[in-house]
Parts: sequence; C-alpha cells; structure tokens
Amino acid sequence: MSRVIGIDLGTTNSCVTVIENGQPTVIPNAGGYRTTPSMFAISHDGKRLVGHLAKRQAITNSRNTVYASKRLIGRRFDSAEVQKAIDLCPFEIVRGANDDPRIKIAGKTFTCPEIAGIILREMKRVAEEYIGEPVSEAVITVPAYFNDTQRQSTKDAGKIAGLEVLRIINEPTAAAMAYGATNRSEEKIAIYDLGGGTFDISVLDMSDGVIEVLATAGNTFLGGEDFDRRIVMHLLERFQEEESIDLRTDPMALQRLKDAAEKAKCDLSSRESTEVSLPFISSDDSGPRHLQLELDRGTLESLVDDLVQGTVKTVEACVQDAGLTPGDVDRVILVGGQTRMPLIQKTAGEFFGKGPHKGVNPDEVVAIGAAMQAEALVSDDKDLLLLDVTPLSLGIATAGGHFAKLIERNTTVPVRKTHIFTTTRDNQTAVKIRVLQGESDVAADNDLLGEFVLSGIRPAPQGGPEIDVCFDIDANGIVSVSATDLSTGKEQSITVNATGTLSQDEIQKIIEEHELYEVELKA
Amino acid sequence: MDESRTTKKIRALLQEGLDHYGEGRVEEAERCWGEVLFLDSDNAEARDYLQTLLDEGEIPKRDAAPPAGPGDLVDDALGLMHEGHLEAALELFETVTRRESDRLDVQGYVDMVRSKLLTRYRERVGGMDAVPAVVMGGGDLMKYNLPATAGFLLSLVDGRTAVNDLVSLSGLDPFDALRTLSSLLEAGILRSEA
Ligand SMILES: Nc1ncnc2c1ncn2[C@@H]1O[C@H](COP(=O)(O)OP(=O)(O)OP(=O)(O)O)[C@@H](O)[C@H]1O
Ligand SMILES: [Mg+2]
Repeated sequence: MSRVIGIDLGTTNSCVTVIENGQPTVIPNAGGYRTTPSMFAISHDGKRLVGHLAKRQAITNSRNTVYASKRLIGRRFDSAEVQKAIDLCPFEIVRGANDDPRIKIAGKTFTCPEIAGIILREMKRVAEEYIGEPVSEAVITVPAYFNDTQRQSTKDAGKIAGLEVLRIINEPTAAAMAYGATNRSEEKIAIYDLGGGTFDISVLDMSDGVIEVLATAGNTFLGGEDFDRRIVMHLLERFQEEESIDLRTDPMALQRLKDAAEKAKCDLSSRESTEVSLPFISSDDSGPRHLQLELDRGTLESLVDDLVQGTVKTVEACVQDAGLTPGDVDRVILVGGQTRMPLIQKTAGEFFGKGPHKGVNPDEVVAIGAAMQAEALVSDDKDLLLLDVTPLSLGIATAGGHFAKLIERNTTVPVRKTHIFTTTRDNQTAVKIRVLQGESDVAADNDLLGEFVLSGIRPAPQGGPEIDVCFDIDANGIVSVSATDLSTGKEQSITVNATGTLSQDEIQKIIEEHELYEVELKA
Repeated sequence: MDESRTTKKIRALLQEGLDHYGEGRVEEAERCWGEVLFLDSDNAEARDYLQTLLDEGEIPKRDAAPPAGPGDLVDDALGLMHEGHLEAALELFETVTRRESDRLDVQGYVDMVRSKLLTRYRERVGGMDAVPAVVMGGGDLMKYNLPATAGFLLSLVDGRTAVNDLVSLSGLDPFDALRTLSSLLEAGILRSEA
C-alpha cells in the first residue's frame, strides 16, 4: 500500500510529512531544510526554479519570481485581496478567462492552481525521494476561512501535481491534532499563527469530536517578511550613515541584505546578539565596502514592536467575537515560524494569562497534523477523525438581491440540506440559481460560488412547479448543488460550476504541459 | 595572520608572473599580474609590470590616445587572438565595435573570442556541473579588493549549488559570471568539486 503524505501548503513555506514507525515525521528536502519556500521562478536563462533556488534570486529576478500565490488562489480578480497584491507584488497579475487572477512571468501565464500544483509537485518529489517509492495520495491543509472556491482550487492543484487529495483540512484543526487533540477532547483552543506572509488567529471549541471554529480573524498581508523588511531598512540606514552609500536601488545588495536580515532575525530567537556580515556589498572610487554590523535582540524588538502589538489587537477582537474572555481559553497553540521569536511567545502568553504549548516546531505543526489525519483516514481510526465545520454560510440569491442562507456557518461537515423552490412567473420553463457563500444579507457582498440554470420545467402557473435543490458540503468543505424537478418526477442533477477554478479539460491540459518540464524542477 | 595570507598569495602571483616573463611566457605573466589586480585593484607592483608589457608592445595599449585607426586595432587584435591572448584581444575588438557599431566582421570576432574564453572559464571552474565551495571567509577575504559582483556571486555559493545553477541564480551575463567564478577559483577563494 502506498503511503499517504500530509502537506502544509503555506503562503511562504510548505512542509511535507509522513507517518513513519507510527510517528508523524517531517521530510527534509535535498538541502536538509524541513520546509521549502512556496516560490516558483523562471530564471533569466529560462530555467524553472522551485523552492530555495527560487527564493535565492527572488529580489534580483523579482519580476519573474512568484511568491505568496496562496493569497490569490480561488479569489476573484476584482477582490480587495487580489487588488492589494497587484499593488504590492513585483510580478504581473492579470485577469483570467474565469475572472480569476493569473500570474504572468517570463511571457507565460499561469493559473493559481497551476502555481500551487508546481509547489505541491515539488513536495511530492521531496517525499518520494525520502520514502523511495511513488506517492499518489495526500491530505492538504488550508486556512479555516477558505471558501469553497479556494478549497476546490487547492484540490485542483493537487490533481495538477499528480496527487489525489484525500481530504482538505483546516490548518488550526491540524495544529490542534498535532498537539494531541482527539474526539474526546473538551476544550477551547486559541491558535495564534504568524507565518511568513499571513497572520491568523482562530478560536476553536472542541467537543463531541467536532471542532467548531468559534471565530477567526487575521491579516493576509502581515508576517515574518514584514519583520525582515524592517531589519533591511535598519541595515540600509546604518550603512548609509557609515559609508554614505545608498544600497536601495542595488538589487544584488538588496538580495543579500534580505537573506542576511532573515538569518539575523532567526539567530536572534535563540541568542541575544548577532553579526551581519556582507563583504564586498558595494564599492566606490576608494575601493570595496563591507557591511558589518552588530544587531541585538532589543533592537530587533523595537523595530517590530508595532507589528506585534497590531496582532494583539486582532487577537483581542477575535476572542471577543468568539464570545469569550482570554481566561476562558484553555490552551494556546503557536503556529508559524515567526512565533519562534521570544517576544511573540511572551506577548501571546501575557494576553491569555498562560504560556503557549510547546513541543512541536511551530512551522511544522500543521503538516504534522495533516500526516496524522492522513493516517486516521487510511486506518479508519475513528478516534482521530475530527469533524470540521463550514466556516461560511451557504445559500442562494433571491429576488431583490437578498441572500437566503440554507446552511448556517459552523454547521458540522459533511452536511446535506434540501430546499424546495418554485417559479415566479406563469409558464416559466427555467430558473437561475446563484449559489453564494458568506455572512452578509446582501447577495452581492458574498462570494459567488457559481450559478446554473435549470431548464425544461413543464409550463405551469406561477408557483406551481416544485424544484428540489440539494446543497451538499463534503468533509473537505467543498460544495456541490444539484436540482431535481419534482413536477416531472424526472431528476436533473446539476453541480455548481465553481467560478475561478478550472474545468477538468483545463486541468488535464496543464498536467500534460507540466510533464514536459518535470526534469527541470529542482529543490 | 590574515594579512600575511593575502599578501603571501599576492606575492606568489607577482613572483610567478616574473618567472613566466623571464622565460618568455608573456601570456602567463599577464595572467598572473591580472590576477593580482583582481584581488587588489590598487596593487602598484602589478600595475607597473603590466605597464612594462604595454611599453614593450607585448600587450596592446588600452584606450591609448590618440587611438590607433580601427584597421590597426583589428590587426593587433587578430594577432593577439592567434597568439592566444584572448582577454586582450577581446578588449581590442570590443573597443572597435564600441566606436563603429556597424562592423559586423569585428562583432563576429568578439563572439568568437568570447566563446573561446567561455570554454576556458568553464574548464577552469571544473565544468558546469562542478560544485564550488567557499574556502576563504571573514578577515582573509576582506583583504582582497573584489568588485561587488564577485561579492554577490560569493554569497550564492553554498557548497551545494552547481556552477550551472549559480549562473542562472545570479542573473548575470553567463560570460561575466563564469569569468568572476573562475577568477575566484584561481585566487583560492573558492574551490571546486566535480
Ligand atoms: N527561528 C526563527 N525565529 C524567527 N522567525 C523565524 C524563525 N524560523 C523561521 N522564522 C520565520 O517564519 C516565517 C515562515 O513561517 P512558516 O514557515 O510557518 O510560513 P508559512 O506557514 O508559509 O506562513 P504563512 O502561510 O502564514 O505566510 C519566515 O518569515 C521565517 O523567517
Ligand atoms: Mg502556515
């Protein structure tokens, strides 16, 4: 039986795990790193680079390096998220045929599931190299707030990578599992997740084997990268003071500064001070210049204090939204590499009045949970099969631009609900059903998952025909909707054609195209 | 201690150049002294020796004023090329194409010499699949007088990435990247494993 892997497909880094001798194990890549940057690039000479190689040229080749594409996947081109990314990203984001954002680098356009597929394929390769046999099945994690389209797109990415996605699970759920949550747990858990590019806070309520997401909040544009940027600015200023040379417009210098800043930041999580040494960073008439500076933990903390305090405000609002006080939270779990920073641990501890749980590396904890869930699925271990809830309400648009919720948020998945609809005009032979996900009463403020027309209704007076519409959310949180015309007794099933995701044909085409490049994908 | 290691290397190169020169191997002498200038662009002794070569007409004058006519330059460059002084030849050919952008024949020579040099650099770095590693760091390294591109390339060398990928990652013109890598290897700052 082939092994099932767990993958944390992160905004900044991805991590792959497998159960080995009964223990969830992080699989290191060829370079020995336990996480791999979720980056893809095409180099000046046309090579496709994935992971660390892509990261090492991300600044000198910024127009052709894709990072943080998870912010874009499954979203609409006009969404605020995508528009903000367009403002901030050096690579080009264009409108796709399905109103989805697509990424254009080196003259070639990629869909977001395609980019995610490239990353997943790399993780699959890392796993196969380690295990020594082909891998074809995976459990992949997504943020708790991901809607149907985002989940479906992630599944498509798996398919593009040659993986059957057995289950999509929520990142905070995976983290809770890694810390030993089972379906007998009864507790409230706060999960503070600060990764490289995004910040998420989730408050979970575990009882009767169901993990309810009481509240989630966050900032998809805040993470360790912002900490790095503060350090870079600081180094630039100090270098300019000492040497009167401005490195801001020198991509080679900036690439080195960014790498050194991240390294210094990580060093300062375990020591009080560190040296940043970049020989031959620049030169002028009087010869070469070296950047050699000492950085201590206190300085770092003062550089990023407002960022950390900003997360506290979000946590406060989220706990309140969950209807709790900080003291009601039984357990605090830290997720994301940036929470290795002592200041973050201290701040979270002070807010909740209890120290965070330790023992699992914060940048690996989600992937560990994914491997455990994979194992539970394969071995059918009911104790470990936790049930998620749908993060967003599901319904349809009704006359007057309203939103009729048919499945409320926080309903345990899988769930199926049916509702009878009818016509609004005499002799109406078709109805249009617009499926939405979100919390607003105004239809237009929610995410449109898809729409379909049910036709062939037997002509009848208004209100006569009975159309039974069935809404289904599976264990992955993926929605399908079907409709049956009861008046004819004939069953017609229609599945939502989710916008922004790819058709089966498109996916197949991408898979074939990528096979051509397989030999070029590298660690 | 650091000091002595760097100066030792430079002194050795200066002496090696003199030995070559004494036995009539001008090209080798030029390479050694050029190497010294790569490590320390202000090195007066190396400049002096190279100037001697120039004065003796062993190597062509660079940007000498008044410039020789293009015809002469091309002839000189061809001569140098045939004798294997590829770097000097390239510089002359490029001087001509800079002055007269329509000299397609000379552009052809430029391409040819560059490709020959490229082969030479590739050999020196041990082939495109060789994996360079940094041998010299910290204080020793800083005694040299390297350009910022060399510093940048050095920062990409991690002992795991092959020459081929280093060139791609650098985004530099492959010729410049290989030239720099080969100089860093010659200088003993890098070592390379096949
Ligand atoms: N020892 C450390 N100290 C401080 N920060 C660290 C440390 N190790 C890693 N980081 C930072 O953690 C961040 C990456 O976190 P992680 O790997 O969890 O990313 P991620 O899950 O992809 O993030 P997200 O999806 O939330 O953007 C980087 O900014 C990295 O610099
Ligand atoms: Mg993460």
